[in-house]
Amino acid sequence: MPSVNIPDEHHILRYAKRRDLRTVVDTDENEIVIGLARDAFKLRDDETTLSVTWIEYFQGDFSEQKVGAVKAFRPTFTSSAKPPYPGAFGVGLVGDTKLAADSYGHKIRILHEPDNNPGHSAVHRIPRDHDDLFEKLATEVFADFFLNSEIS
Amino acid sequence: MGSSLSENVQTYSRPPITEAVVEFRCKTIINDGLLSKVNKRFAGTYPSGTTVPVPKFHVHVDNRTGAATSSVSNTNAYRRSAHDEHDILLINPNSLVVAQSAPYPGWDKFFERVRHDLRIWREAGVTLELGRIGMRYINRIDIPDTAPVINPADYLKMSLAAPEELGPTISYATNGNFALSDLQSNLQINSGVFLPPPVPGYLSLLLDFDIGRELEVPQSEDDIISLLISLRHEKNRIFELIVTDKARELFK
Amino acid sequence: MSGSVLLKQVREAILAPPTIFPWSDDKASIGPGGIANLELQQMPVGFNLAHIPATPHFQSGVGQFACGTPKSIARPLEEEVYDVLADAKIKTRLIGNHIPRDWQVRLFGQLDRLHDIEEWELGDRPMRKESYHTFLSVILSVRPSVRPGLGLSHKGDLLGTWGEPHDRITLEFMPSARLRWTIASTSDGQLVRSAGDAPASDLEKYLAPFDPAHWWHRSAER
Repeated sequence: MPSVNIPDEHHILRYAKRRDLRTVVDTDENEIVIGLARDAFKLRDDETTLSVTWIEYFQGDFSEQKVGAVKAFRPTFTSSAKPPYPGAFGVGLVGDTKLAADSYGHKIRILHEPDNNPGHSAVHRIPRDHDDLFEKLATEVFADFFLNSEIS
Repeated sequence: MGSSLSENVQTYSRPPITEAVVEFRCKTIINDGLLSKVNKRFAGTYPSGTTVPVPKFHVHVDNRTGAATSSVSNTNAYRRSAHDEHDILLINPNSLVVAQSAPYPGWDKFFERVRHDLRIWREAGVTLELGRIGMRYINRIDIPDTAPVINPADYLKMSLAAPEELGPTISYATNGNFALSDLQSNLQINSGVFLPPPVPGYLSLLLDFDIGRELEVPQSEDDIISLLISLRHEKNRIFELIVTDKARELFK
Repeated sequence: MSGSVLLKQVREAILAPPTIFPWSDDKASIGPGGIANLELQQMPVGFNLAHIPATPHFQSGVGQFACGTPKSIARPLEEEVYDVLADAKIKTRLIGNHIPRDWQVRLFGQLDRLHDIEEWELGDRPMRKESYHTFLSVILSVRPSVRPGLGLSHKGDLLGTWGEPHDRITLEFMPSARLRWTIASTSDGQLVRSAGDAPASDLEKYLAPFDPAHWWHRSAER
């Protein structure tokens, strides 16, 4: 089955481990998450595409679709699947993701490529080393985020 | 030099001690099995630990033919710690090292740990003859770098003597060896300027005492404790001889 | 034992090489068939936790095993993490007089949580020691009253963030006392981002236009 281009107006979910989160310390001396960090969008040495989950693939309203996406993703990343559910998820628009990459001269494609996660999708042609792009993705495109622990 | 066992020991609210260490060194090597057992015994007191591989080189020379072969095997040493690296223990093939990182908790607390760990070490089965008992105290004296010129000699009576025509000393390092005949021990003192300065805005001076006994080393626990108390008093006496009042103001 | 004999023994001990840091303990024996077996055992040397820069005299004595093993020996990730955290905590304690105690304690907790390797993937590296050294030097220069939130780059460089979601600075602490910073703040509804890198010693100079005190000290007025 050929891979499907995900529509620009749809959303994708990107998981970030604890070490890839941006945090600050609040007035109560608690470390709180304020977003994803740049390296949450960096390819690993053994990767050629960036893994994300297509939110609108799942059923229900947007909130229910997000929950569906998280629950489909979790078994593929074992440590995120058990309490205390570390890490966080960034939510970004497909179109904005493409625009951001295009602004740095990179024409990326975001394709639905289901595996053990039926919503799994892949960002193709994302550069391996581009801190400015990754920073833009973390700070602007995927500024909307929620903690893994918020979904039981 | 004589030693005093007076309890009138000068104490400071901010002692400049960055590291305090006591070492018990055996004359021979502890076997691997016993060392591993010792490591396990200390796991309760020092919950964090790691194994430090120690290469052992073997050289075999046939003295009939002159042919030589060599091989390498590994033995292990162990490093244990507690309270976020405040209390540290090194379990080495021939020694036990009880180390304290800053802030120095005071002699009573540190010594209690030394005594306890020595006892555990021996109860675990290390009964080898001791070849050296040593103590090391590393002091770092941080001097606010506010004056145009800071003369280390204003803070330590063991620094560098140089002709005035050379101008201010930018850095130096000295080492002195002294006999402590009354304690049948020797003392090494290292002094110098830390380069680069560990704390911006400060000039830092090192005063490092390494005091140890290798002659007629006591073997019983009581005699060992008595020696350590004597070494500590002597170290303190010498520290007070070396630091100036200007330095004392920094640690009061 | 006569006083002169005792003094002679003490003198001989002094003239021996520094013995608190033994390098080798070799013993030779003659085995069967006339083969001489020479066993050399390389001891872990020194316990100078401070890793004081060596002078020529005590070069051989500066401890390199107090916090780890030679890089040539491959070790499991857990042991690497132990090493890195031990080094970080000891280095922090060495300048502990200059950092509030509760600040240190909470910082250690942050470092521990950052190094929970259970969710790490293949290739994730622990914090580089040199990165932490740069972090400490910046903390000592800036003396922030607010602790940063911490993260780790893939390479193992520590990241520290101060501020709030809509006005924050992130410093990336790199080896060799270099820094990279990114600033993001919202002004009139617009997100403004700026970034740069420089030696850590020049940090205040380059950040001056942004009034960094309002990040380092929460109560500071802009």
